Amino acid sequence: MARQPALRTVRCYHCSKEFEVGAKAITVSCPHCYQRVAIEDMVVRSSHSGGKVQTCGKITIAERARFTAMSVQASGGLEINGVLNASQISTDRIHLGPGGRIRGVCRARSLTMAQGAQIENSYFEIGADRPETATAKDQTEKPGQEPPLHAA
Amino acid sequence: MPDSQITIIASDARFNGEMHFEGTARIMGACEGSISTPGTIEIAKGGRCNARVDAQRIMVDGHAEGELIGRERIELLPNAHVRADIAAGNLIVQDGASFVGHCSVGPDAVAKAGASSQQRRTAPETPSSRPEPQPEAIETRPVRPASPSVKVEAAAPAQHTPPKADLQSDWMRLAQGATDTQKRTG
Repeated sequence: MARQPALRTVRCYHCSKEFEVGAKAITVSCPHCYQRVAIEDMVVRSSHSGGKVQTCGKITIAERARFTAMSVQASGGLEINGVLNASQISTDRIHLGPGGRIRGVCRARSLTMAQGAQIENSYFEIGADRPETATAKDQTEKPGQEPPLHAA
Repeated sequence: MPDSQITIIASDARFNGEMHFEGTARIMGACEGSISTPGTIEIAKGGRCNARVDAQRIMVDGHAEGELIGRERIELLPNAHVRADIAAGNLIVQDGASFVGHCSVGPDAVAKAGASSQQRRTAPETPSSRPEPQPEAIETRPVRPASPSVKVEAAAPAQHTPPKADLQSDWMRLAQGATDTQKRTG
């Protein structure tokens, strides 16, 4: 009997619709909007800066790592144990670890913070309907955007 | 603290102004203005608060607007709808809560918020603390009538100088006349 392939559900960062992909897939085309989407999980372990970072997976910023970017979109969530400095942050769930620091305009479904985490004078939109509106806004605002830079 | 010692703003109550508690306050009605306590403030489900809230701990399960300063922590419970600027030592946002606004979390954030609020408090007091000119001094000062010579000096050139508009119109007339004569002769 053939083994069923392991699947996982991801949310497209272009159209905000969910679909299933193979557990080991890195990039696919969204079956709803037909756009190419990156679905890999990213881990930032040292100091790194990037322009626009998009993924349907999860971005983890390790302890003592510093990540600076123009825009960060992680449909799978964001775990911050180091420092994240970005103009626009859009994600599903944000978890700030004990040494986590965040700065930027941030839209997410939920936010959890450990004791000792810091938010540096940022604008937050936390709530159930926020990420969809954020992605839609991003799309309308930047029609001729530069190609996304995937970094880890 | 037992329930009997909690100050409760009931659901049918509406408060507008400045409040200070020593213990815990539970807001189930509507509040506007400024609320401060060294203890805990709970904005219960159905409660509405459009105020500057400064407390050790703030728990929100209703609607809150304005400014929230939680020196120890701010907790947004599942029914919380917050549209405010937050400064807190620690922030807990439970699933279902919504929050829109500027946010600073950490020990420095609370210190900065405290400093800024101190400035705001002292800022309106400074104009009132300045010594105002006393009306009695103005009354007792002898009022001297203006000297007639000054009046004449000021009035004399005004009589002799014709208004600018008249001068201009005269020059225009002269120029027009000159051009007319030139046309006739030419």
